[in-house]
Amino acid sequence: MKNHKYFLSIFSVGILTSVFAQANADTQTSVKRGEYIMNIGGCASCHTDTKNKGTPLAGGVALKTPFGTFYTPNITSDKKYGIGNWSEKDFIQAMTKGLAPDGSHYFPAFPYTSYAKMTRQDLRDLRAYLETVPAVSKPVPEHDVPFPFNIRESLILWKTLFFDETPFQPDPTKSATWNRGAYLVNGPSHCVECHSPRNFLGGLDQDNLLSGEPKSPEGEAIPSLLNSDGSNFSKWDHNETIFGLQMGMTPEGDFLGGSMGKVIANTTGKMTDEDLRAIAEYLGKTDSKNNASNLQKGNPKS
Amino acid sequence: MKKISLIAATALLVSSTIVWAHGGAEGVVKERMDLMSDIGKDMKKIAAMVKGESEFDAKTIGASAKKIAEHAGEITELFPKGTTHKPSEALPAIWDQWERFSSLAKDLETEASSLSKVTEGGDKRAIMMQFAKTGKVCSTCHTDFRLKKD
Repeated sequence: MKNHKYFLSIFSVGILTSVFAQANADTQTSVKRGEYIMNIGGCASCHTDTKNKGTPLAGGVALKTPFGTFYTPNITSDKKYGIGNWSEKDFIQAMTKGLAPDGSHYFPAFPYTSYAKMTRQDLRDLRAYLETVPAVSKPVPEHDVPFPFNIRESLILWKTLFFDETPFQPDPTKSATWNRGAYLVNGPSHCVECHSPRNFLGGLDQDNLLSGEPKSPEGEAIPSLLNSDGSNFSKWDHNETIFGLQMGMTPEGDFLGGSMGKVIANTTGKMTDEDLRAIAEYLGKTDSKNNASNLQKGNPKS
Repeated sequence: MKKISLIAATALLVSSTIVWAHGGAEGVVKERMDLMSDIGKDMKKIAAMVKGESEFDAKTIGASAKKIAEHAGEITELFPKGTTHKPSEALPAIWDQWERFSSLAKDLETEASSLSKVTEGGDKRAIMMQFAKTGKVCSTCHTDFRLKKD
């Protein structure tokens, strides 16, 4: 009888250990995926104060907008000043509904209008990664937003007008690569948020997405990403687009700076080749001027 | 009187057209815009080889890199204080953070010189990586110190 009990306890410990080990391995994969999502989501560009040598994701970056200056929050795992106390539900609600755990509305300087399109799995992985970010026990400045824009309740109306909560829907008539590009541009990498014009209330002009914004809050002229309007970018081919997003180099040999410099450094410069190809395809870049078959025929496309 | 004013008007028109190169830039602003364009042309040349769009020639890359390094050494003296007038895209931050700005200019000289040196070994991958490193200096400076207006 004694032997039997002994065997049973060893067996149980064995099962528990392997279940625990498997859970641990799953978490590790989730954290690794989450780190990639953090990169393609561009979180560091707003939440890490690189100018003042700030600690990763501790916030405090000033975002100047026509409605005032917003200071990005601390999203480290700190339980008092960060999001260490949040449940998974809190995190998903923040990203997909623009609602804080206490139910108050977030200002759309936080681009939840795009993050709302992210898959549940991506959000869970992202959260798993964020839980590993070292806690920084520092508060950030209050937003410097004048009346009436500081009234969070007014965002109920703003969201009704300008927040489309429809989840991302792939287009069944397009390739998987194209759909991945559509997901990235309209979801986690939120290119639409800068590269689209906004109305005077700060809502995206949904009929003219990606057509550029002549004067951003920082005073930059943000280019169009469309192929149909003869813009500078419409002249970039497939290879130039990928090279550009990886290195920040334009076909003229210029190097992108300003806000896009941060995007290249933190987001597109860290994407896999497949994701870059997906974005290029979604943006309609199908051919390259100097690809091998063209050179062989002695017939370079112009 | 009419003839003189016609000549004067023509002279004014001609001189203002000359000044309208590079969006109306003149003096030190034009000089540095031209310098940056030159650097861009060399980077474009190297990029085409690195991307496989033109025939890879380490010697040509080395020569271009050397030119870039030389230009890099000329950058700081082309940014005297108070030259942010149109059509300059230089940000006032340059002078607020002069140490950082000039250290980035020095970085460009260092990385471009390294690129020139690396071409002597003919290792394509090493050349590519050093090219990327050089380009990163361009982006870093442009991120904080340049405001593109077109």
